[in-house]
Amino acid sequence: MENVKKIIQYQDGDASETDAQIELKISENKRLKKIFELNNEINRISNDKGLLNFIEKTSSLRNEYSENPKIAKTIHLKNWFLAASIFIISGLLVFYFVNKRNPNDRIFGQFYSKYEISIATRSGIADINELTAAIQYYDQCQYKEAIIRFNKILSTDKNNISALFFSAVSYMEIKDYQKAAVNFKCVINLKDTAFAEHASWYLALCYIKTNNIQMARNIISQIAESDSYYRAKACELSKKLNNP
Amino acid sequence: MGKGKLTDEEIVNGILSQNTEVLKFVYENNFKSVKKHIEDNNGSESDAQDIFQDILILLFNKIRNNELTLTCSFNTYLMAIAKTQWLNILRKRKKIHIPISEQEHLLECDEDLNEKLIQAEKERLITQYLGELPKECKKIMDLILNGSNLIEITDQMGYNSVQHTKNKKLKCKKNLISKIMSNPRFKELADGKCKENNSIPRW
Repeated sequence: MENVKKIIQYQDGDASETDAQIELKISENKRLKKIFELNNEINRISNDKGLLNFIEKTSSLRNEYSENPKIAKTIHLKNWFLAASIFIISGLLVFYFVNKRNPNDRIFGQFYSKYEISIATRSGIADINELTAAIQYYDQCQYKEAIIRFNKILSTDKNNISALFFSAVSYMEIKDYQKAAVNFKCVINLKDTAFAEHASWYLALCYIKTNNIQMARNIISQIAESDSYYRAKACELSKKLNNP
Repeated sequence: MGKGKLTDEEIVNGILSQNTEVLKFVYENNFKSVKKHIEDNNGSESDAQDIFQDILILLFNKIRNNELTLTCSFNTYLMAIAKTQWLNILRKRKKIHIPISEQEHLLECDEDLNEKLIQAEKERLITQYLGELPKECKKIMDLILNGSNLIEITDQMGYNSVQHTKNKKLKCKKNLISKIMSNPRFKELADGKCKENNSIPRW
């Protein structure tokens, strides 16, 4: 960190060491060179008001076009009645289907929550490995991207338990319960106690979601009889499955 | 400016002058097709938004440096860049070979396009992190950019000493660099080509 400080001070004209000493350090160390280049970029962009304004402007347009399609903006007043009617009918349909929802879906909704993780990075400039990068995408809810990264890890290390587990939860998040179940089973077979109990719980939920209720019951009863973190939840879930 | 169709010249001039109506026109006429192409090829809406914004930044930089020569319509050119960029990303993500399409040939003469796309993406990411700086850091940065010296900044910020200002500035910079370098996408970009830059403006 001391070197990072010196580089910033050097580039910003506050250096205590001689230019030659710092330049030598930068030329000898790849990471310091990257920091040097990044600081250059930050200084250049910060000073380029035209570019900053342009990026800010396109950022706000980007949000506008992602959240409010142009139809919403250009709709004519005479179409308001039509829009309102569609809205009311859609509301009624949503209400109807929510109430008609498969009881298993309802149970799943009550018990499923994403496995949260807090990413621990070293203070200062962190070197990110493939797994950390993948987990960061997972943490940012970019599941498709996360899956690509986890699969990349699994292509060279098929028993990487973290990649298997988090890719499985990512599959759940994108509603691909079949693939999720496959990876959870791999985790359970690896017999890593730290992940296995989580994997069992989520596998049971995958089975509920795919209407394999008997398979779900088998797992849930095992969890309910164990000292798993999910024991209490499993008892409650078991009751719900018996009396949906 | 009329609401109808804009000529390519009007679009180019509008991007250069950062005319909101022109930028909206570009979005309205192109974003949907870029998004469709990316979503049809294993991408997400968020990927499409990033790529579209990066292309606009690239075009802005090219136009103001007098480097833009259109050999086809603006819309075709924009779509060709979008396809190229998405192929670059797919190749990087999946390491698969995707044959060069017809539209990519439109860009064959632009040898440094990829480098400029990387540059545009870096610029977007850095600007995003600059915008997320804590209030105090932003204020220090604005004062520096507006030409205030350390004594004036110390005074305006209500700090005890110039040394304290220096330390604060350094801390802001270190945090900013740390956050940017923790971004996985930025790391990928930075692992690419390293560019020499001798003229350094400072904040």
